[in-house]
Amino acid sequence: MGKENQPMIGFFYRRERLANDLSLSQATSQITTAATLSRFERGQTQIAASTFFKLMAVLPNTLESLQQSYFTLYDDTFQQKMAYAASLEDKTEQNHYLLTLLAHQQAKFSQTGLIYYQLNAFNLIVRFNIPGILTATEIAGPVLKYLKGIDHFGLYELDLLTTMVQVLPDESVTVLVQRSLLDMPRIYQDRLRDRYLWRIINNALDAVIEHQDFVIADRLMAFASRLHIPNDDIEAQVCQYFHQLQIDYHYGDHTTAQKRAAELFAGLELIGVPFYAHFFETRWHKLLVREGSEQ
Amino acid sequence: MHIGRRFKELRKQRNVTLSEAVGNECSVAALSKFENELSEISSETFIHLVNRLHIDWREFQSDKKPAPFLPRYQQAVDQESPYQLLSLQYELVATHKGNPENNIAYCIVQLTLMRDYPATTTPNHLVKKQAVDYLIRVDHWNQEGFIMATLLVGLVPLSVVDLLIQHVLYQIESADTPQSKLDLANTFIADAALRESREGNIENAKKILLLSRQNTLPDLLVATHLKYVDCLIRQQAGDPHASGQLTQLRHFMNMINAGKIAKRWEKAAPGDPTF
Repeated sequence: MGKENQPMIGFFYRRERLANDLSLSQATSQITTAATLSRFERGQTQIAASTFFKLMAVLPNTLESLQQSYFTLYDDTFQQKMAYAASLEDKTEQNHYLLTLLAHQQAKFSQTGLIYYQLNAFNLIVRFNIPGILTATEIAGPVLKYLKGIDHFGLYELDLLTTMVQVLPDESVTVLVQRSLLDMPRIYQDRLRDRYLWRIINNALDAVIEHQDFVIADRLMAFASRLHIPNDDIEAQVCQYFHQLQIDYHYGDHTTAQKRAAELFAGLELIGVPFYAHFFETRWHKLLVREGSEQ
Repeated sequence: MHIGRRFKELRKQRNVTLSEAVGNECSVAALSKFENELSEISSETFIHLVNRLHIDWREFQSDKKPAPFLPRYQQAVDQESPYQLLSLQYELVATHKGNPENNIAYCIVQLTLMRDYPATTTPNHLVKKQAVDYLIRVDHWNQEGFIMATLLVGLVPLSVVDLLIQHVLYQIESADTPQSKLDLANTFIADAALRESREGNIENAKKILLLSRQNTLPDLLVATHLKYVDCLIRQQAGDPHASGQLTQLRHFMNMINAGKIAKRWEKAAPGDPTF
């Protein structure tokens, strides 16, 4: 491991080169010598950043997948900690873990002034609905300011948006969803990026339906209906189906929507991952309460 | 474009100052010189800075890099288009003249054609052999490695599937294995278990399915796949509840417009004793 437990980039490169079955000389391809690359991979020499990106271009993988693969060498990224927190079933343990993580991010923000620590803290508060710390308005201001300056949303910004659409004003959400969708990559479409886009659309729908803003919900569904969902993203398929049921229920199609929702929940329960069934059932119950069908 | 200048642009868009950006990675002066093309910084430091600012590596990609293989392959599979796969195969043969079987991308396309569209291609046993050799030889599998292993499940003898299972378990032996990697491994395990049951080895199939594991929340598709195969195996074993559950799962998949995927799961492990 390198500085501050970060993986050594040479070690990482070697792992990816071998996974692609490339020899040292095939990978160097006139960029540097095989001997230099070998020393770099073993941590015995450094190479310039620009040379490293030329070497990365030799690998046939997308840079998104290489970056994700690099992160798998860490054992303590913020994203991993969030995923771990989400998997904790004991609520007391989860609360304790979340508050410790939140305090750490806030302390780092005070020490360094680096906005990512503040955004991470916001992410925790919104994603896990931690009450009594900041209001939606206090969070929305800095998030919108941060996103406004950026020309092209990267995976970090897309991930941030998947959470923040829950607290941003509905009109800003529509604009940001449109911006994300129109910001097409230059060379190829990446699955990870597609997955984030669908999460943004679906979380945005979740938020506006909760705010009973069905005009915007209809508009978002109109965007979504013209986009292709990758076959392997059935989470997006389920969400789209579920949002349509909520909209149908709102417009008075109670019997059919209720019947289909019950079938959907039965299917999700059968799969045996309680999170998914619980997630959708809770939202359905809230819809029924808002629509005056249940207490 | 010089990557230092690009980094400066991206840093400024994020309203991050030089001193906030560097942290303990390097001096403010070193980053400033790099951004203004007056000096280089090491790849190690640069990657740490890029990650500190949560910038995509793709922002520093040369436009000369050809379109990567995987997105094009995934699109062809999504669209169930043997023509797109054949066209991809044709390009790969042209790029890797002489011995395309040594290329992972070529093997993946060829194995997909052999498994899913056997009428469109001549079985190429060298490709199967090269793919298995590669998976045994290479220490760390990337996503392409897992895809290749999963394709092989329906194309090689059971003894080779057993061998591949051991290598998949090696890939995920760390307790900290990220869920995304477990999802890839679990997809392989679902197909391997189904193959075993199709060969009549129900108890082995059940044991293989038990090798799947989760560290955090699994992908919904993979969780559904595992449950689907579990139902198929139990149905074959005569479990009276399995058929009803399978009908319910099929209904669920059709309901969310994913019925084709369920059909693909059932076809994934027909088995081919020729190797």
